[in-house]
Amino acid sequence: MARQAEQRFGSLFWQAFIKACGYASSVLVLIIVLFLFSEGMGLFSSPAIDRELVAAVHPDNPITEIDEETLHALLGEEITTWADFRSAKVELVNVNNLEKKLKAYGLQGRPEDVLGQNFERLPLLLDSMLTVHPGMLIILQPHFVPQRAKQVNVGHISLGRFLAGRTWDPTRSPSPLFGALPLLWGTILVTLGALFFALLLGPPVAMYMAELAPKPIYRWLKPTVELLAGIPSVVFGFIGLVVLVPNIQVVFGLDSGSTVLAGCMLLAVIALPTIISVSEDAIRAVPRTLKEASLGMGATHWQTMIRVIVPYSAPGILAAILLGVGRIVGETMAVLMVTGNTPQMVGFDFLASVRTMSAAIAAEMGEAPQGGLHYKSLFAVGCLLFLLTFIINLVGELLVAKKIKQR
Amino acid sequence: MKSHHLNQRIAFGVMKGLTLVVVAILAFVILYVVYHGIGSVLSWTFWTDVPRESMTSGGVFPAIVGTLLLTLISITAACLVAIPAGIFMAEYAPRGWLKTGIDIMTNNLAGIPSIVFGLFGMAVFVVGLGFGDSLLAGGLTLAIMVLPVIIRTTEQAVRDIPRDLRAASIAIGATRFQTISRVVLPVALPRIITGIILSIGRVAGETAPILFTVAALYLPQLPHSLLDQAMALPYHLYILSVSSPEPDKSLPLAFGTALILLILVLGLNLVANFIRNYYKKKFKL
Amino acid sequence: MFKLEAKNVEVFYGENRALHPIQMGIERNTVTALIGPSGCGKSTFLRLFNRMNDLIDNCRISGEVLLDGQNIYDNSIDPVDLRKKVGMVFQKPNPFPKSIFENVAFGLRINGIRDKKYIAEKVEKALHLSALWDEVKDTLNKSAIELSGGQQQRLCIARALAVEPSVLLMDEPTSALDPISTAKIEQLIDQLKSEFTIVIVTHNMQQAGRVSNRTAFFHMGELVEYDNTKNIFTNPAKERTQRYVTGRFG
Repeated sequence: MARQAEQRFGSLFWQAFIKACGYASSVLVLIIVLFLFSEGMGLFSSPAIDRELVAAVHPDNPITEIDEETLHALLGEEITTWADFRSAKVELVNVNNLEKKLKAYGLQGRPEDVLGQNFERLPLLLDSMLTVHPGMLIILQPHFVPQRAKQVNVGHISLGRFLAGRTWDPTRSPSPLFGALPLLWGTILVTLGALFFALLLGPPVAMYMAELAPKPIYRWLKPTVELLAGIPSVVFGFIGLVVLVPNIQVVFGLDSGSTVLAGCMLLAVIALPTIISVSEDAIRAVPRTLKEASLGMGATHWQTMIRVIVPYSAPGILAAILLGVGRIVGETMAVLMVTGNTPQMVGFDFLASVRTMSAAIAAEMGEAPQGGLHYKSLFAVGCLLFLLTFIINLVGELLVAKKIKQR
Repeated sequence: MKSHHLNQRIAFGVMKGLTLVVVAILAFVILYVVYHGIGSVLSWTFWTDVPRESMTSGGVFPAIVGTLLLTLISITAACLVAIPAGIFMAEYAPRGWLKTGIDIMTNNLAGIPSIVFGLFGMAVFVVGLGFGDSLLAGGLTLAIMVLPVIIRTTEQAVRDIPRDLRAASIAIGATRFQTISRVVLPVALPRIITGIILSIGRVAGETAPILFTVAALYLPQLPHSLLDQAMALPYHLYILSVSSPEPDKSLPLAFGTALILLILVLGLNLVANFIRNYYKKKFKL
Repeated sequence: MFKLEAKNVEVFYGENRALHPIQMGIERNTVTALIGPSGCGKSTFLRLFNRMNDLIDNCRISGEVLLDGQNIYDNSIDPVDLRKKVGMVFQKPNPFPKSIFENVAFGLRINGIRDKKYIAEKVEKALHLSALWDEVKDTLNKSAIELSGGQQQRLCIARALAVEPSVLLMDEPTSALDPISTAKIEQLIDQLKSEFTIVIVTHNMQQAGRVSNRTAFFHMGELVEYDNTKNIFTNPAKERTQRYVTGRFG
């Protein structure tokens, strides 16, 4: 009896453990989403200037809040006068132009010498400047802002500007630019190009493997594709760097071979195993009877493939392509190493250099101070990347599932 | 009639040619790396020495150790959770919309880009739990990345056990748990192990998740505890190829590192295939 | 007292009725054959006796099934314990992918028995009972999968017998076997009935005639007729039975 009780306790324990693990992993996606979004969405509740800086104006200036749009216009000198404040001329003072402004005010010598080692006397000086230039806008650390000046709130970074902004300059001071469009476009462009090469190779190879390959050849082919899937992307990136990039540079006569094109070719190879395997399964799922019916009517094997097998397995092949796209979109190392890594809008120029979303995260996260705007913005890019792959994979999975149900 | 056959000939020829292209790509990658890397890999110091002279000579020993440790930590942690979770999915999970939801979740977990896992690991392990850049943080991040792969393999392997084997066990008076632990799992195990071996390959070669959770640029010593930073082979290859101060001199080392990674993946694939075939024969499944 | 008795048992799968109320008693140490066309409910009825229907999600049972006078659907009965007393052999031989020895020892091991000598004795006894001992005694450690189909099925019988049940349920045990193996199994059933109460579902009416004492004919979820085997095949009371046993339908 004791043995039975002991056994029963053991099995109860293990069953509880199994269930705990099951429930834990089923909420894992939610946990990941939670963390990703809580960090990423923090970007949109942060003021659009560096965390340690404040904006201040003349106490009589009626403005109380500057939204992101206006701030960038002020910084870009597109707005030069205060509309609500006697049209006073905007005089911007910030970290970047401090020395220049002080010189213009008549200060001689190095600022440190005049204002003290730690710029102790800067607030006083700014105070007197403020009297002369009531339109002054000060963007500095709080302890440099004169007592008399009025601090104004800076508006939050908006989701709209994040998604549609055409400049990614996360380290620009004092107000960084988080326009993720160049990164998104980089990802899209690289994906489109990679898809071109992958479609050229993937489905025909899958068709060959499923329909034509003699058994001995198939026995070699299948592990070959699996092996291709196993090679780490950093190895592909390395090969791309030493083989593709120099050759592209020579062939197209470029300054640098690190281009979208190199990324496309590498990513196509990386996505191929997924596309081939899933397509092959889809093609093999075509019922024999359908095939035999077509052959029995005198159609050639090729006609049967094109008119019967391909239409029947089309949803599966589409799913394979989507899953492949999911891999391409998320791939990091290879793209990082061969696409040149410049965040810019390039249109459809496949010989330009871009930075994709994943590459931006990989390249910049190391330098982004924890908890800062840049850090949060990279998480926001991560959220975008997550959503993109999630949707692509979801559609792909649903197509595969639907196909299985049909059988 | 003749033109039909001609069409077929051309089409099949093209398909055969494209297949050859894919095989050629793989062959090129392997041969190219072997040709340029064999020199480094055949030298003893490459395996046993630390990187020297800003990574232009010496070896990759700390990176090998780092990768081994990372793999060990992540696979152990992943298996501990993923195998029970896979059994849960196949045997215990309630049916209906909840199950469908969980399935979609796990499937999509597998599709999340590895860099996103890196972000998650950074937010949770490095910052949230305060592990800092460490073997532990990196290992756990990698564990979460392969979790869905092992869950799915386990679930599928358990689910594919013939119903009549379960029925036989139940009919003798085995409890559900006894049936799972004594009949279902032993038969499913080879497939689960195959899945784990392929996951090892993935973990050992993955770079993005360890970029900011563990990897040390240059650390010519071995880690002393789980909370130490470490070098890792894939990251080392990345660093050697993009930010070496003297690219020409580090190139042979980079090829050597790439070759080690290739050998690792190739070896693991061979082992996995061997196990798969052996048990296919043995169990006639 | 009957060894097994069904009292007004009905079975539903969701909304569909699988068995109409059935009343039937089975004597100790007899062989009872359940016959009828496919889908008539004979397998469902057989699986009532070891509660294998419990494993089907939407299966609902009413009425009583008695084993030695006790209702096995009573709340106090653990189906796991019940199945140790009521063994079962399936349509397709389903040995575990383990050694021959381990297959037979399985039932003992799950009961927590660790005494090696005791297990070895019981395994040998069960293999003797299933007339397999002489063929496998030198290869007990070989994988059960390497046995022939007929040997596998006798191994499954030995596996069921090793836990010493008093009832043996057989669900078309020879349908996947060749005639020679079938003959061996039938011979075995004949020997086993001195120690066990056997209920066998069969598609094959000759087989029912050869091995059973009593035969029950099922049709569309109804127990049409239940009588001595001889009567069923030579002088059935119902017309439906007559038409089935003479091969006019099914």
